Amino acid sequence: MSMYPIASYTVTNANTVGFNFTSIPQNFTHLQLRCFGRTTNASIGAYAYIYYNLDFSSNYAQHYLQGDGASATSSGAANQIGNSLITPPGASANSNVFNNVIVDILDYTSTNKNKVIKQIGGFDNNGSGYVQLYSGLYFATPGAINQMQISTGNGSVYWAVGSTFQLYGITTSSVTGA
Amino acid sequence: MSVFLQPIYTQTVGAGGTTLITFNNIPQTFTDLLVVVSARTAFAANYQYIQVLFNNNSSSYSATSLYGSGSAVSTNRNAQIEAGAVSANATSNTFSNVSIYIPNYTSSNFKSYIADGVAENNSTAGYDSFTAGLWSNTSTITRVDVSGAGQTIVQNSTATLYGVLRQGV
Repeated sequence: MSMYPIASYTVTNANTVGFNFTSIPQNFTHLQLRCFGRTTNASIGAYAYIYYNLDFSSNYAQHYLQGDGASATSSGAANQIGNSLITPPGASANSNVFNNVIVDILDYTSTNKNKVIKQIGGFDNNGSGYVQLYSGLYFATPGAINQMQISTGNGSVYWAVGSTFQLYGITTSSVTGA
Repeated sequence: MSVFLQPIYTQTVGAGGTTLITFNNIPQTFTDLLVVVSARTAFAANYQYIQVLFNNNSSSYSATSLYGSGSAVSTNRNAQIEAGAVSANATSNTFSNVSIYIPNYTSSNFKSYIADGVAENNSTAGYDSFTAGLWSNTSTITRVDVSGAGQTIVQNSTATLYGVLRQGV
């Protein structure tokens, strides 16, 4: 098996703005984060962010392809502070609705590559919703990722109790098959 | 990804680059395959695409794709397996993040696949794609090729072939 659980975080404190996965082991090739989140933001769809190595500078870019049940859109932005996490539902969403997101981070220990992150996910609110393919770029001088912070990005917006986040490590092969 | 995910082969492109990454002699003991690619090509643009072939066969592919450019959404149909790759004009040291999932690769049915990929750049423009495709061929898949569609895949690009086992296999 090449997919190993590294860490897990379940929100139990209603005042949780963010949390860190620290000391991420460096013995895998890729990382995968699985998110099941909801926030207290007043809207139906809220914002949330991933920061790497506690870097809160403008070292990120992102793009997305999104459908909301009525239209499809795409957008992008350079020089951002953090990568957006695929939209979690907010307080105006139906009760007990959380998003479901899979985040793939390739070659997270590489010192030759910027970190390119792919997210697939969304949520359905029984009448509205989002489905998104999200890409992120962390382009600080290439270095290994050893910490991740997952945050609502707003000190007065909290993760809903019951939100869960699992971090996995994925290995590759020493055989080439060439 | 299944928890029953086994890395079969990995190739890392060395100095000078390559035009083709080939995985031969794929074991027939899994139920599904997953190809994960982190690639950058030498093509003089921000984005290009990588192309994937099964069994060194360039015929009988069809695909339906959805694209996001960072400002517009489009959809099209084409006759090859492709997913985005970062190219020479994009932010340096930046590569793509692509997954191609091929279920039932040993079956005698046609082979369906899905491909999702992102090619990043520190710009408002980007290249996100999502594809459902079909190889109308009943042969079991024994070889997978990843190419730069005529362009050089540069050093430090990687491709890994995983096997996925269903519960009970």
